[in-house]
Amino acid sequence: MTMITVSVNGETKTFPKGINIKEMLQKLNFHDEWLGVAVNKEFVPKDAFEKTCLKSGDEVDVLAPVSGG
Amino acid sequence: MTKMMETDQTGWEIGGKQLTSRMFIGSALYPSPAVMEDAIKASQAQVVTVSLRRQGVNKEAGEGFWNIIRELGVEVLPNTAGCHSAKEAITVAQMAREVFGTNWIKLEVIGDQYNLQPDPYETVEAAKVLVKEGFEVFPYTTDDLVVAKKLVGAGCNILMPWGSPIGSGKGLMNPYNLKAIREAFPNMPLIIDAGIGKPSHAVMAMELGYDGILLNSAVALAQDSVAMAKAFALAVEAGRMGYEAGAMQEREFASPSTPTVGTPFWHQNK
Repeated sequence: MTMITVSVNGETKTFPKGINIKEMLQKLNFHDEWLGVAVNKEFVPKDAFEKTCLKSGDEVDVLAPVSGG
Repeated sequence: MTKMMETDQTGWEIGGKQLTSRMFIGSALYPSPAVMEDAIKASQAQVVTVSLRRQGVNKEAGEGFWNIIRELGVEVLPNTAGCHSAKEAITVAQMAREVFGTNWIKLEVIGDQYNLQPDPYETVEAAKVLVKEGFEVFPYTTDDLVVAKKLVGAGCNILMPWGSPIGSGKGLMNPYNLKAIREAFPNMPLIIDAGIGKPSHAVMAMELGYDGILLNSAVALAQDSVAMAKAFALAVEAGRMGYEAGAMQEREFASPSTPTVGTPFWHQNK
């Protein structure tokens, strides 16, 4: 199986080629109810998670609610 | 009865929502989640600022925080804290809209790391895009009147000039500039955001005719956050009531308040 290397929140991860965002979140045990995702600094809406496949070298940010001022 | 009573009953409007409290409060820096919850309740604030950060190893702590805020039943105002460009702020705002389910965004684009002064150019650029995308933009800005005008030109319906740098607690550094913004935009909701350290600063902001204040450190870092939150609630109410009541004209010289007619004889030859 061909693998790709992706950065998720600054950590290098390896996934099978063709993986989409929904599958990636499940693999990393992220609950997607309160999460926002950006790939290469571009926002990806939830309804596009399944149709957005990751490529090698992508930088993914998975953000969650925290306190703020 | 009084004007304030009328105000309390009818409330005021900002960003399409009707509120009674004029205090917005941040959710950061409290000694514990329990203190945060109690302080927010004591402040009577109906708007709480929140943020987004990378989901890390401590997932449960993040979820715990968010559950507390949701259970408080307040309006959330997500921020773009930590962004240094319009592009970054736009992406974070888009993510925040989906995560928090609100089109409100506290637009914060930092231009200087030392005093966390907002970058006016990037803030205006981001505001233009976000307004077009349907956001209600609450721009964190300095007390510069020209920048305020540019933000309004970009489509902002609200302005949030700083009192002084974030977390400094120095209060209102330049009341003259803040007054000029108030006079330039008499009908626009204006919030003093950042720099407020004491309840007296909040009174001053409200007496200038500002519609509200946004603070965080002043309450979170107080020795008793809950008591301080209550003190601020009273200060905001007192300041607003004072503004609505209309202050007396300041005079250059003393003027006796006790009647001079009938002054006892021993003063009459002086």
